[in-house]
This record gives sequence, C-alpha cells and structure tokens, in this order.
Amino acid sequence: MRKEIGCIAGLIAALLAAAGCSVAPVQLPLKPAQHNEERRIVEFVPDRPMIVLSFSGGGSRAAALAAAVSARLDRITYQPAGGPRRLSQDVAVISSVSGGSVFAAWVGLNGFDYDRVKAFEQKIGTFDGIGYLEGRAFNPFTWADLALTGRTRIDVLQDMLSEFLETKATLAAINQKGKPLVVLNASDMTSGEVFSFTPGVLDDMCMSFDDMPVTVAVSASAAVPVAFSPVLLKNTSWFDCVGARRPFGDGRTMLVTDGGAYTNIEAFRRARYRASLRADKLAYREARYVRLLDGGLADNLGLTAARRALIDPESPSYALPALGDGRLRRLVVISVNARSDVRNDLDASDERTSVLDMLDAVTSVPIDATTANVASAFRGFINSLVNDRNTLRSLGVPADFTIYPVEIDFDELPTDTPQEIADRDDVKSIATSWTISSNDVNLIDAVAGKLLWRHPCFRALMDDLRAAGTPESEAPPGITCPQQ
Amino acid sequence: MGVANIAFSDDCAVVIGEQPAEPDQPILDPRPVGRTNIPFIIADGLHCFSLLTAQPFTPLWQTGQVSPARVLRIEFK
Repeated sequence: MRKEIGCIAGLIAALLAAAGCSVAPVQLPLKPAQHNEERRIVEFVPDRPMIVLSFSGGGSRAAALAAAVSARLDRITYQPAGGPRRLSQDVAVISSVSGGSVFAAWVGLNGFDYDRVKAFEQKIGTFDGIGYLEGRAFNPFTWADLALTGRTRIDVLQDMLSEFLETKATLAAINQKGKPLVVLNASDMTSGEVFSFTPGVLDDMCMSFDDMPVTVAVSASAAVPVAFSPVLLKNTSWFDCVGARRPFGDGRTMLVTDGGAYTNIEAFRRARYRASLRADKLAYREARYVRLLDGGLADNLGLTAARRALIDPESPSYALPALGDGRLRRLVVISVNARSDVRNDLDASDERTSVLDMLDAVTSVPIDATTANVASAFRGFINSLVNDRNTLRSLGVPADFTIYPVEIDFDELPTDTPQEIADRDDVKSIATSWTISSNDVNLIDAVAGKLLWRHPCFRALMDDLRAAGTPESEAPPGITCPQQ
Repeated sequence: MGVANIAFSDDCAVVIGEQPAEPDQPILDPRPVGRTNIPFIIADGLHCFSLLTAQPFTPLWQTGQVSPARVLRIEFK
C-alpha cells in the first residue's frame, strides 16, 4: 500500500511464511430459524439533517483524521423543534475502510462523545502498532502458534486491534437501537466486490452478524494485501444452512430477466454477487469460502457502501422516500479522505526497479485509481438526486431537499503563506502506518478543523441550520457549494 | 437514480420485492418505496413492483425499468 506498510509486508511475510498451511476459517452459522436482525433505526425529521460519514483508508493517519472531523461535529449545535441538538446526533451512517474502520468501530462501540473521541486521538498518537506487529513477527512463540493452531497473519492484526480498541465485543454491540449504522467494508479477494459487514450480507451467507467479532470485521477491512493474509469466512449457505435467511428480494428481478444487465450494470453485478453468496441457483461461482482483504482495494473511500445504504430499501437508512415526501430536507455526506503523497525515491532514481518497488505499486496504484473512480461515481449519484428532485418538482411534487457534499481532502488546505504550504506538505507526507506520532495527530487535528470549516458546503449547512460553533478557518472567498 | 409513478385507484404503499415464479403468486420480501399516484425517486434498474393494500388489484406484480432519463409509469387496476 504505502512504503512503510510495504516494508513490513516483506518482513512479516518472510518470517511467517511457514505458518498457516491449514487455515481455520471464521464459522458463525445462523441457528435454526434464525435470521440477522437489523436493530438500528434511522429517523427522518424535516428540521434535522441526515449526516452520512465515510472514512477512507490510510492507516493511523486515516483514523486520526476521521476522529478529528467527528470531534468537531460533537461541538456544533443548532436549534430544531424540541431543543438544542449536536450535529453528531444526526450522524445516521458511517461507512468506512481500513484505517477509517478502526475509528468507525470505536464510534460504534463508544459513541460520539467529544471527550471519548479526543481520548481516541490521544491513544492513536501513542499506540505503536508497527512495534506490536514487529514484536509478534520476531517472536518464536508466534511462529509456533500460527503453525500449530491454523491461525494466520491476520490473527496477529486482530490481536493488535483487540488491544487497541480494548474490546472482544461482537457486532451485536454496534447493532443497537440508537446507534448509527456503522458499515465496515472489506474487498472480496476473488470477485473484487465491496464486501460490507451488514446483517443483510451475512444473512446471504447464512452467517450470524451479531456473533461476528468486531476485530474480525475491522481486520478484514484493514488486511493490507501481502502484509496480512485475508480473513477467511466459511460461507454456510454453500454447506448446511439451517438458518431462516430472508428472501433474495428485488435484486433477483434483474438476474431472471433477459437483458436485465442493460438496465443498471452495477446493480446487476451486485445481484449476481449476492446470488453467489446465497448459493442461489443463479450463482456464477461457488463461493464456499470468502476471502476478504483491505476494503481500499475495491473502494478506498467507503462511498460505495454509503450510497447503497441510502438507496437500498433493505437498509434502515433508505432515504429516497423521505427525500421525496419532505421528511428529509437536508442530506449531508462528509467524505473524509486521508489521501497522502508520500515522497517516492523512485522519482529521482534511474536504478533498476526492484520487486518490492513493484509490489508496493501494485498494491497502491490500483487503490488510487479506484478512489478517483468511486469519488466520480458518487458525484454522479449526487447530481442524479438533484436531477430527480427537479423532475419531481416538474411533476407537481413539492420535493424540497438540499444535498451538502463535503469532501475533506488535504489538497483543499490553503497555501497562501509559507506556513500553510509547510503544513499541507507535512500532513500529506505522513506515512500510511499503524504507528503515528502525537505531533502528527495534533497536526491532523488542526488541519481537520480548517478543512471542515473552509468547505463551502459545510459553511452552507451551518448557515442553513443557523448552527453555533467556532469556525476554525475562513471560507474561500467567492466559492459556493455546487449544490446550492 | 430515476423517478417512477405507480397509478392505482386507491392511495397505498408501493413496494418492490422478489419476483415470484408465477404471475398469481405475491412478491416476497416487499419493501415500501413510495405511494401510489405520487411520483417518487428510486434506484435505476429493473424492479418488481406491487402494492400494499387490502383492496384487490391486478396484476399481483409488474416489472418495470427505471431510467435516469424518463419517468416510469405503471398502472395497477
């Protein structure tokens, strides 16, 4: 992925290569007559915004940026009917990838409370994740453990995450009424599809969502290829499912209709993928074992799952009807992208390109390219919603909603002074790693406040809500939110 | 994304769900997506539409293609 993780990839892979000839998959079959229950509920109230957060990958840098942005949301208040409210209370969906999933899981377990989020920032600035992983890699007991128990390198990452998050909880802990819909995303190594840890997807696999350890989902989301082995799930649907899975639903229509693929190729592929997870007679492959790698391989922004959460009638955050009938008037999507530009020595070298350099490239270049495509697709989705709103109005439906797309990206930082240029370059040079200094966390925290308050769509939201908060930056003059 | 308008003599919920094998079977796993006679936004693609109402209606379900460029119109009797 990035240089430092690329380095430990070789280290850990070499030291632990002998381990794991036989791998123990995660097996959590549904019990007889059981299906996965979605307990989270999203309320649509006209004078409250619905906030969707997406947290990108990028190791501890991404986790720190996600936390820094979230901390701000807990300090901004506005006055809807019924009394003052913090913006963090309106976060309905959090979709995350890799490093962003570490903070998303933290929020799912601990909530948005400002002090707790600040404690997360402090902790990530002192936690030496790389040291933990290297210590385990060099420990002969680890080799013996992996060789004898069927555990693999990903279990070491799970152990690290368990220690960092201080939890052995299962996803039942985040699947509770009153909590936001946290969607941790990985990539299906065989199909390349975004794999979202949701009750519905695990239902397709006849696996229990509530029994899945949080650290398994987070480690799948953060399983950097080569450095870590994939998370292996045994898909009970292909074996002896005794659970009462819900029906396939509307997606099957596209598969059974000649020409269905022409109507929406992405939805068709998604339905086809679901058929393979469900061991449906329409399955194009026998997905008996599903291998999950870093979510960034399929979508490093988490926006694909965020979009699905809004448009899928099976999701508790299905927002389309509420947008059309006036229950939802403000949809806010904050995409936190911790993309960096770490200096690459290859730029100044004509030496022979090493295998490790190429390995680094094949695990990072596709992620960057996919990220650009996903961001573009999401902008298309927003534009489509705006067009549909205008269509409804032309048909006499008083659709009255505004969309606030807030893309947080280090490239949006001001560069008017030498200090601002230095800050931008410094924050963009923070390596992707599980170890980050407290100084870097402080820098990320400072720029997060600037990035949020500078964004024209966030400013528009603050104005429209008449929200109270402490601006940390001036808005760029003459720039307006494109959707206003 | 696109817009659909499902016409029916009564006001009730429009649902989408799993298309049955036979026309005289109801859809499985119905999920509300809008109201009859009021245009609504829905994901583009092919859907299996039906109604949630105590009133009899025919057919029991219909498939329809939602496209970004036009409004899908379906009628239940």
